[in-house]
Amino acid sequence: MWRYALRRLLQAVPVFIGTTLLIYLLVFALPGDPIQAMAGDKPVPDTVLHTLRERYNLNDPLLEQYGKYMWGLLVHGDLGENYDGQKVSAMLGGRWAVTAKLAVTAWVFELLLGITLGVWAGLRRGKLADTLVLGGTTLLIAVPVFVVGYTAQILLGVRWPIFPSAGIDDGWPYSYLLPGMVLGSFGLSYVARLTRTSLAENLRADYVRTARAKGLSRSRVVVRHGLRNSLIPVVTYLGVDFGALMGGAIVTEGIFNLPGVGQQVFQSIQLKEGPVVVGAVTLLVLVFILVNLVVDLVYGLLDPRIRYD
Amino acid sequence: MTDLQSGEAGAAVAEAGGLVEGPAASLSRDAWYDLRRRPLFWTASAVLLLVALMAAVPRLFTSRGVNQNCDPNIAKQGPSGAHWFGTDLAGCDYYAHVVHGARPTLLIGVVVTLFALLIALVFGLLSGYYGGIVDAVIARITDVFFGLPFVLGATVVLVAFPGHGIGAMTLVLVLLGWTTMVRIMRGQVISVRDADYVRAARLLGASDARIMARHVLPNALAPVIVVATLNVGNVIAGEATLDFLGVGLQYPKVSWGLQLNLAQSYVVDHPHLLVFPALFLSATVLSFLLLGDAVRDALDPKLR
Amino acid sequence: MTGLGRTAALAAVLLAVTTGAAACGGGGKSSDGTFTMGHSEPDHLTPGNTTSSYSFDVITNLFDNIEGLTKDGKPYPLAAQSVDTTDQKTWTIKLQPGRKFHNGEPVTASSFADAWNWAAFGPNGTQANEYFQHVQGYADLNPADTNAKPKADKLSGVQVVDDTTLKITLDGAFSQFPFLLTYPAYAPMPKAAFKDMKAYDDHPIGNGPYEMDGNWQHNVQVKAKAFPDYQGPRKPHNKGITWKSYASADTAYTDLRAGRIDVLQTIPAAKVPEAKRLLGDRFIAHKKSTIDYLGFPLWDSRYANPKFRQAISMAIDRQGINKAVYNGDYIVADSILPPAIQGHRDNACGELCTYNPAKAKQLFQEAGGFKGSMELYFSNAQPTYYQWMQIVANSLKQNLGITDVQFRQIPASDYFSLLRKHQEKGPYRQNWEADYPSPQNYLENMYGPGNRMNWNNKQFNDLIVKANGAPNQDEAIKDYNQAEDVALQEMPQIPLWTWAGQAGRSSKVDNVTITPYALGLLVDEVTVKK
Repeated sequence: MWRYALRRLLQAVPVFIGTTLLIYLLVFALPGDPIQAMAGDKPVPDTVLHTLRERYNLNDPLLEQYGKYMWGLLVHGDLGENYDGQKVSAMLGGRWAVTAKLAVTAWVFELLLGITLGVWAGLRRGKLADTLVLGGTTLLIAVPVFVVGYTAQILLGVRWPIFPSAGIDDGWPYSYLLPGMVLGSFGLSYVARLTRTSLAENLRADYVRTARAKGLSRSRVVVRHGLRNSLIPVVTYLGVDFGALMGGAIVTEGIFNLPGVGQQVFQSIQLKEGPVVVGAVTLLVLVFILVNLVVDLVYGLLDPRIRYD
Repeated sequence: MTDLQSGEAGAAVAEAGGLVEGPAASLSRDAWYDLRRRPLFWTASAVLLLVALMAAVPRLFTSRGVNQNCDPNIAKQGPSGAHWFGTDLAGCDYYAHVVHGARPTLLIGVVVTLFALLIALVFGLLSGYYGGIVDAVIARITDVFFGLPFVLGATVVLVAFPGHGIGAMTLVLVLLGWTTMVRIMRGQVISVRDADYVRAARLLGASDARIMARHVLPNALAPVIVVATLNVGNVIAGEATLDFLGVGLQYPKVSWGLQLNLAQSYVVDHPHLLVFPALFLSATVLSFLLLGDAVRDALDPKLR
Repeated sequence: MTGLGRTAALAAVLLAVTTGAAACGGGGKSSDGTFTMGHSEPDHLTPGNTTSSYSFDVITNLFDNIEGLTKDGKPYPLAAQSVDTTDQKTWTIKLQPGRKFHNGEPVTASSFADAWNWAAFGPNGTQANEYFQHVQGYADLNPADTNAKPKADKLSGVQVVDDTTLKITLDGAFSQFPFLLTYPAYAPMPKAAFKDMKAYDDHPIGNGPYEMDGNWQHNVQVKAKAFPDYQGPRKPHNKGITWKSYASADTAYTDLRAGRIDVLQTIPAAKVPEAKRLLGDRFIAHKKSTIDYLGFPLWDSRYANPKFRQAISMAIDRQGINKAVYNGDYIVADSILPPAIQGHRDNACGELCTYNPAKAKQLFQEAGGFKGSMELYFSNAQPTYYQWMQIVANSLKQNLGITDVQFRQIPASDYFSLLRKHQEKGPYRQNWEADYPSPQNYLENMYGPGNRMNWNNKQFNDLIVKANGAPNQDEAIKDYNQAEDVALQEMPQIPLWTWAGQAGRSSKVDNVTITPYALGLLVDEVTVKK
């Protein structure tokens, strides 16, 4: 187990370097002038352009820039400054909390409702409940998230204002419920379908039949034997998906004006604010890798059939 | 963005849970028999056929070309006899544009998936068959691209090249979307690699290339094809998301995602601008998903 | 109930509880005499280091410049008693005595001189640097060779005579200098600012009617409260204001509807019909000084013929676009100058700015037609740019028969550097918002020497020099108008339409006046209901 954990950890190192280098090169090697970008419509004198370029090392070779950046990040925990002179860590600081709250809301929503619907459908395979869940979830997967988002905002935020239409003024969880549901709607569908399929499969397995034959009650069999084993793939998915949810729900944050990381990064890409993009994405990648690692390890605890060697 | 990534991951996990381990043969067979009797499957095929026809021969459906006979003075009108789907922001016939929107949407969905499939087959085969260093290197490369948030990565590239067309979009979507299928392919190859018939072939002195081409590939292909079908839907949704964010296709191209992008601020007063492209887009994605489900049940030899 | 049933029920209950609790949130706050305005995040709050109108929203209220602007766009002495000149080149400024900064420091002539020197000094890399180019000595602070050390760090044309007297020498006669003095970059800064410019940017200390209430919370809000010791003419009628930052105008509008903000200066064009319906008399139509143009790259010989450019101008259905994209609320351009600017003449452009496909086609053919692909350049800053460009492109196809029209939608960040480097290969979107309400600001900046189109017309340039040296405003305007006529005939850049200001307010506030200038909302006049 520990050897496996260590090996997975070591594997994560090149992945981390590869991903961050890739994003760094993408952001900085592509055309565009961040300094002019700041000025907008008005002309910037050459002296000013020159001064600012020097200040932000924009004249160094790319790999050197990347090296300096990673050194600063890993050794000093410093994410650098954007071209306005703001600390990237300060710019992203409050935003992480917003994105994390949104992701958690979406995740809890996925988990509770997804598993509930999945179990409901799995136990009633082929019946109306099953068809409803299957149809509904397929539809949710098929309709683009921005259509779901706008529709939800207009119906539940504006026309019948059950939820705040936008912003985070009402704090957690109220402000995050509607965006969380929109963001989680996709994962919800997968969780429900996975749970359903998995449960239905397990209920037909030999050990369940044995348990039934022993005379255990249906509910006990379903919960103890069926559900427990059925949840393994679901937990895996939920684990991986948490990283993905964190990974920046640009669209959802945009529609609901949640000042999260995704929105900041999207703006920063447009403004060519490399340090912000790289900083945020690096941390996202880190979260993603760690979550995957944890999921891999937890997987073994849940499923005794899997061995680490 | 996450929604697309999780979609791919989700498809992968669904595979892993339901098919790769697949002890429940009877279940899936039931499902297949079930499915054949379901009108939904046939509806999906019909929808795709219709959309494919729109993409291939738009003239069958409309006599208007792209951006033809537009008049800004009749912009944003609702559906009427003269304009079945109403008119768009520029006063062009919306029905004609929705018809013309099928081509880029479908083309990108299919082409991206084909390229991704090709990469997946090559990488997956090498990785699964040889194992060891090759496997480790490919796995890490896959991880690197898998960890890159989709929309962010795509936005960075597309924003930098403002003149991009369908080609560039395809490239970006392939670059960021090939990873899932590699993992599944690799898993399949590993499960086939040590099968008796492969060992037999090896003992008979067949070359690696021959074994891979003749024995491993055909037996490992089915689940990847299934994921590929599902993937077409995901790619289409992803392309629409990029269009929607304003970093995707642009004029004079016409696509559903682009139409949704332009419609977004007019949803309340002119819902027809949102409804029609959303309907076609969703129906297409949905049909690919349903078809993917059907193909999964039909194709996998182990499940028969 | 089975075990499973219980789990499901529990999940259902949990959901019900969270949604139920949610329904109790929200609710109005009791009024404390302050109000909230929605806008985009400013870039900087140091006066000399920004040209962003969102920054101006804030700093025009934190600072009193030497000259202020009346509601109809005329300069009047604000921090000064008088601004005098005889030759339009040397200006003597007498400050109001006894005025104070928010930290108690007195406002003196050197408060202005120090601030201007800092802003104009090249190595400081300020955004508003170029606004000081008319002042004598500017070149010494900004050497042409970017690696050279500047010869001086103070503008030789800015002379502190005594505590309340400044003498300014310009590099030439410039009759519009009082207008320029209203520009936010010309605000004074206290000595305390220069100790730590970074901290100052987060908490600017000014001499205006409002002072900062806490630091600038980036991407969230800037709060200001009425400055109790303010002695100028803009005494606040409310207790304070919060500027809230929004990344999307759509969302800001949604919040205006929900009563989360009290004033929104710009309602997205697409939402205007709905806003008029929903807000009723709380919808505020106001004038703007922003005008859109389509510029031509004159170094490309295909665009060199004025007839060709006139043809394009006449092939564009401005009113149609106005209806389709802007609900008919914008004002189609009949001049290079918007109506809110002194010197605007109705129908100055005449036939050349009127939609006439037949005449356009004729001129187009006389000019020899067009070969190759026409690329249209614009930025992604607003969704409406794409929308109207689409209609322009369709018109060019339909009315002139140009078959190959392509879009080049450039990220806002790269757009202006692309234009600066003359990398565009076709007509491009250009717009101008008055820095200060003088025709010179439009004409000389967009059409004068070194302009983006590469247009060079001696007659025009001479007329501008003459106007800049004119002894009074009436004469100046006469000359500016003559110059404008030259530019209209040559059409190096097509005027399209003037923006319409479409604002909204909540029922909590009243007396909301929005000017078409950098000043924007007159914050001090807003009253807040108890």
